[in-house]
Amino acid sequence: MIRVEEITVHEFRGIRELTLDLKGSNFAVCGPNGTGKSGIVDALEFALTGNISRLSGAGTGGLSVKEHGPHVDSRNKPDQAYVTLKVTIPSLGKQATIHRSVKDAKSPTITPNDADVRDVFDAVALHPEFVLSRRELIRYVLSEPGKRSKEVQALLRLDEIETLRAVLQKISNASSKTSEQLQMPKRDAGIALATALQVTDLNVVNLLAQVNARRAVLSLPEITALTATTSLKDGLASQAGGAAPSRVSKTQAETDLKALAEALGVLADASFVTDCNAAREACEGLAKDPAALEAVSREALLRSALKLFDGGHCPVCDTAWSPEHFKQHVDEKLEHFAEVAARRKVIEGQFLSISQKMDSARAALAAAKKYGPLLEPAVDVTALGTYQERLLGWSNQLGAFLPLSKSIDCLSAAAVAPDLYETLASLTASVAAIPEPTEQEAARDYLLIGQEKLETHRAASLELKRAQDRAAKAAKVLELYGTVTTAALDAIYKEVETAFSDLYREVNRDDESAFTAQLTPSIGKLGFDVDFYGRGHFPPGAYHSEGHQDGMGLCLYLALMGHLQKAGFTFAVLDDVLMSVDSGHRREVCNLLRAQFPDTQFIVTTHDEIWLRHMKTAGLIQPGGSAHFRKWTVDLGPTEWDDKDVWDEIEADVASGKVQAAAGTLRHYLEYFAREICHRLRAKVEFHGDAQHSLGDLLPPALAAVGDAFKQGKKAANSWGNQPVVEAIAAQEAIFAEARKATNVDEWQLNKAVHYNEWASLHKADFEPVVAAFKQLVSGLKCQTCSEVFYITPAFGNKEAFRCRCGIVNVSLLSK
Amino acid sequence: MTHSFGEGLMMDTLEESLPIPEAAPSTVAHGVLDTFFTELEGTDGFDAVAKRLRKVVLTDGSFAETAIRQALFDEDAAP
Repeated sequence: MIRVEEITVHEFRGIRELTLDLKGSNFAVCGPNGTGKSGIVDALEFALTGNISRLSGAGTGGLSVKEHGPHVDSRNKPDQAYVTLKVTIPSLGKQATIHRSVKDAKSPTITPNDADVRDVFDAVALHPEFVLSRRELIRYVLSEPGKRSKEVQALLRLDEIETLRAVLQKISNASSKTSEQLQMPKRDAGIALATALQVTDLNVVNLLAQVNARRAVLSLPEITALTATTSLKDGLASQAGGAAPSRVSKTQAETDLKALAEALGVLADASFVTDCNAAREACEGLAKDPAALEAVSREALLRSALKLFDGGHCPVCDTAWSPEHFKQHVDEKLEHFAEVAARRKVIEGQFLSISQKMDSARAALAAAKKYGPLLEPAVDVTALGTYQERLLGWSNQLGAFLPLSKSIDCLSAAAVAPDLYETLASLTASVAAIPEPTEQEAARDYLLIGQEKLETHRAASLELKRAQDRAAKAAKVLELYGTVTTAALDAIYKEVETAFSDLYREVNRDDESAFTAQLTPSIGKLGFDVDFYGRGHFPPGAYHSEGHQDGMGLCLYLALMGHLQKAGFTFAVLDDVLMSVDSGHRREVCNLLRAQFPDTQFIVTTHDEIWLRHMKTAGLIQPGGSAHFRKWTVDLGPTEWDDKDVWDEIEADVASGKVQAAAGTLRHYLEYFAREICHRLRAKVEFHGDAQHSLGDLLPPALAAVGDAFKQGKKAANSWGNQPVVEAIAAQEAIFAEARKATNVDEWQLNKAVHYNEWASLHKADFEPVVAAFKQLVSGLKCQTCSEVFYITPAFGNKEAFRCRCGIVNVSLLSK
Repeated sequence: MTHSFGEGLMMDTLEESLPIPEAAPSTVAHGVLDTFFTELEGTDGFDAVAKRLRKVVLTDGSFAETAIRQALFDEDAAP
C-alpha cells in the first residue's frame, strides 16, 4: 500500500534526532544490541498506527505510548516526541507525509489531506502486522493450534466471518427457542377452543356441525368452510356489537365445569395413579444406581451444552469450537451414555403422558376459575388457582427431568387426588342457579364465546407458524453459511499452505527440496504440520532446528501477507528475525525476498553484520540502503558509522586528552571501514572459522587490494595504449602510497611501537598524527563527489572495473 | 581520487521506476462473505434475504444483531 521514502524521528523512544533516507527501497538497519535498531521499528509502527506494540500486550503492564513513547529526557514534552514519514502510495501515484506526535497519537497530520490518501493510511493503521518480530514469528510457528488459529485469522482479517457466524447462530438459537415456547400457548388455546365448542378435537367437520347447529337455532346461514377469516358469529347481531357477553354464560360455564370435573377425574383415576407410581419406581431405580445417576447427570449436561452452544464457544469452558465439530464432539461423548439415555427416554415418555394430563387439567382449571368472582354470590376459587400452579410446577419439573429427587417428589404428590370437590360443587351449584338461557341465548353465547376462543387459537397458531418460519429460515441460512465459509476457508488455507511450502523449499532447496506442509483448520484451531525429510508430517517444533523454524515463520508470514494483500503487499518490517538461521540459508532468504517480492519494500533490522553483507551481495540492499549504528547513548541516541560524526568524536576526545577513548573509537571505526573495503575490493583475508577478524587481519589486506587495483588498472590502460589514464592512475597510486606509509600499517608486524594496540597508551601529541594519517587515508579511498567507498565490479568472477557509485571514477581492469 | 577516467562508463542509477501495483483488493473476509451471499441468492426463496444481508454486511458494514435480524426476516427486529 505504501513505500517509505524518508523517516524523521525526534525525541522518540531512544532517538534524539535522526533522519533516514530510504528512497522507497529495501533498507537495512544494522548494529549491535542496544544501539537503537528497535527504535526505528517503533517509530515506523507508531507513525503508521499510533501504537507501539512493544509497549502493549501481555507482560507490559504499566507501560504506555503516552508515558514511554517520548525519549526519557522529553517524557514531559509529548508534543516534542514525533515521527514523520514521507511515503509513496503506488496505487494512487501520490506522495504523502504523515506526521504523528505522542501528544496527538490518535490524530496524525496527513499531507495532502485527500480522502484517498487518508483511506490508505487508515487501512495501514488497522493492521500493524506489517511489522514481523520474532515474537510474532514464534506465535505463527510454535503456538498451540487454537492460538495460531486466532493469530492467523486476525492477520487474514477473518474475524468478520466469525462475527457474522456468531450472530447468525444466536439468531437461529433464539428463533428456535421462541418457536418451542409458542407450542404450549397454541395447545392451550386449542384445548380451550375444543372445550368451548364442545368437541373432542378440532376436526373441522365435527366443529362445523356443532357450530351450524347453533347457527340454525338463530336462523343464521350455515358455514360451509372454515377459512382463516371465517367468523363463527357471522351475521349475528349483538347489543355489544358482537362481543362476548358480560354475564356468565350458563351453557359455557357448565361446559367448562364439566371439562374440569373430567380432567380432575382423570388425575384421580387409578390408571393415572398407576402411571405416576410406575414412573416414580423407574426414577427410583435410576437414582439407586450411583453410576447411572452420574451418567444421567453427565448426559443431561451434554444435552444442555448442545442446547446452549452459541455457535462459537463451549457454554461450560468457553473453548472455541466450530458448530459442526462441537456437535460431533458432544455426540461422541453422548454415545458413551447410550444405555442410560435409553432408560431416560422411556421415563421421559412416561413423564410426557403424565404431563399432558396435568396440562389438560391446568387449562380446565384456568377456564373454570374465572367464573368464581362473576357468580352471584361470588365463589372463592383460591383452591383452584393454587392447584393450577402446583400442576404447572410439576409439569415443568417433569419436563426438566433432573434432579430426579424432585421429579420423584412431583410424581408422589401428583398421585394424590386433589381435594377440590367442594369448590367445584360450589361453582356447579351457583351455575345451576343461573336461569336457564333460552335456546337462542345459549346458541348466541356459544357462537360468541366460540369465536373468541377461535380468534385466540388463530392468533396463537399464526404466531407459532411465523416463529417456525423464522426458525427454519435462520437455520437454513446458518447451515449454508457454515458450508460455504468452511469450503472458502479451506481453500484459503490450502493456497497459503502451497505458497508457504513453495517459499520454504526455495530457501531450503539444498536439503529439503521435497518439503510440504499441512495447514489444517479444525475445531476452531489451525493445525500446522510440516514434512520432516519424508518421514511424515509433524509440528515444526518436533524435529526441525530452531533455525529452520525461524525460516518457517518468515515463509508463513510472507505467504499470509501475500495472500492477504496481493499486489498491495508493498511494505514490511522484519525486526531481527532469522536470528537462528545459518548464513547459507540467510543468503537464500535474501534471494527469495528479492526474487519473489520485488515490489515489496522490506525494512530489515539485524545485529549481524554478515547478514547485512549478504543482503548487499545478494542485491536485496542497494548501496546507500542501510544504516549501521555503532553505539547508543542516552544523550545522543544511536550513532551511525558516519565519517563526519566519527572523526569529530575522535578529534574531540583527543583534544580533551581522552586518548584511550579516541584510540578505541578509531580502531573500531577502522575495523568497520576495513571490512567495507575488503568486501568492496574483494580483498584476500586470512580465513578464521569464527569469522572474527581484528584490525590487523583486515586493514593490511584491504590496502593491498587497493594497491592491486591500481596495478591492474595501469596494466589494463597500458594494454589499450591509454597513456593519459596510466599516468592518472600512477599519480593517484603515489598519493595513496604516501597516505598508506603515513599510517605505518605496513610496520605493524615489525614495530610494536606503531602497532594499533599501543595507541591507547600514546600521549596526545603522538596520537594526533596517527588520527590525521588515517583520516587522510580513509578520505582517499572515497569518491569526493558521491562520498561512497570505491568498489570492484562484479562482486564475483573476473574483476572488470574499479569505480565509485556516481561513476566519476571508473577504471577498467580488463586488459586488451 | 577525483579524476574521471575516460568518458565515464554508464553510471549506476539507483533511481528505479517503481512499478505501480494494482489497487488493493477487498479483504479476504469480504471475498468469502460475497461468495456466501451469492450462494444464498441462488437458493430457492432466499434471493431477497441474500440481497438484504449483502447490503447490511458488505455495503453498510454492520454486523449488529438487530440489523442482521431485520435483514433475515424483513420485519420487526424483535424475535
